[in-house]
Amino acid sequence: MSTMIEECATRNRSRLTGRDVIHRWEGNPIVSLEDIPFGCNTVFNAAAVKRQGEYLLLIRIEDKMGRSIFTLAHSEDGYRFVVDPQPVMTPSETEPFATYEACGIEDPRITLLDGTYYVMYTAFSHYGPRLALAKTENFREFERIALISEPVNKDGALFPRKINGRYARFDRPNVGSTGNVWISYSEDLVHWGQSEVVMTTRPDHWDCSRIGASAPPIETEKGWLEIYHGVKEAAAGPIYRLGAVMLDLENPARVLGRAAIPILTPREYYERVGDIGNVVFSCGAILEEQTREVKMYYGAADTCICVGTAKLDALIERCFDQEDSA
Amino acid sequence: MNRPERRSQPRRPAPAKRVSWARPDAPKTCTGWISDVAESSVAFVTPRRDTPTVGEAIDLTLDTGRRSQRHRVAQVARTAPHDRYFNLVACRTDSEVGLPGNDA
Repeated sequence: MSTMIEECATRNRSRLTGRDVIHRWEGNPIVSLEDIPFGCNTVFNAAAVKRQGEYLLLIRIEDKMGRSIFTLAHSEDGYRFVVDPQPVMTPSETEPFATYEACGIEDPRITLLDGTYYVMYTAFSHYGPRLALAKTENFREFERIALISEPVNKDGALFPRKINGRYARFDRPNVGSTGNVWISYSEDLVHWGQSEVVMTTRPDHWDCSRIGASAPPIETEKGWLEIYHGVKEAAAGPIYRLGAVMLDLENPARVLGRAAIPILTPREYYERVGDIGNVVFSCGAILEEQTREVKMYYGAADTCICVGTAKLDALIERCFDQEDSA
Repeated sequence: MNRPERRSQPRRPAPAKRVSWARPDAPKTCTGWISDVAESSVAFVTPRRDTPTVGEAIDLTLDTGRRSQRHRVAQVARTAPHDRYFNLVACRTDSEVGLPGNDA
């Protein structure tokens, strides 16, 4: 009984103070400009994966010319990372990718699917952003597969298994300055279609301006857990927050529950101040199967990378929590 | 000031704070994580490729809280493997590191 009372008290306290479900690690930020062994301008965000007991971050950084490239970081504990001495993936010099990556490669998301690691990323050029797909076995060599959308489309995240016989991905076609989360399907990972909208911006919420998938979806017994980002255009500029949504396992276009309030909102100095202030933006989360804890990696203020944790059950619960009071 | 012998100095469990260090007059700054702090010593982990050698003097910058730092000169006393990516570096410092309120 006392446990129930304590849980209720904790939950109410959390709502009253607006405390985030995601618990920030006290050592944040975990990767900053000073940790990159070669010259660059800034650190944006990172895809994350745990492979053979090793944590890997595929980090988007901006080189000195202003183009985004990827570099790899390694860790044994998921908190303290060592960044490789050289970038691991730079804009292609081979067509057809070269034309569409001329301004950089951005926002990678890693998905392990059928034993292969796929990286869905944004190819950026003066034609606008479009989605591209690469794969790797060893994280030293990355083989580009295809450009898989037209511009303007970004925030692509591949599902970790086929759904009803088809590959599935989230994407975010832009309409002017707004955009919603869509799902598309493919037989071969190259040709995509049967697109439909999954969820839209909410006019009266923190995610009123545009939304997009963040980490690749996590399969749970309740459905697909998706951590997504939402943007609100404020007088002083956009505010990027992170939210959670639960989707039907066999029809991920069907929303089962969507959290009313964010799971992470910019509060700390390193999230408030940087190249683009008031930004928390995730491209990767790792579910620790034994502890059911989610390690969520996120870029802060387009300047550094941080990590936060949450119990999977708390994230699931938040998806079905429709209370507006934070 | 009479300091207690190093091994008997009270140690504080180090929170996950950053450290950066550089060889004097070297342009490159390396980073790491504080592992252990005592009155006149500090240990930290740093990437293996960057590890200083025993006896080397280095300039340390320790994060001590919200955007506050302390700078110290230190001498590397011992290094050892920490894990696949980091080495542990134990240093003696020329002035107190870990005590609050001594940062003139």
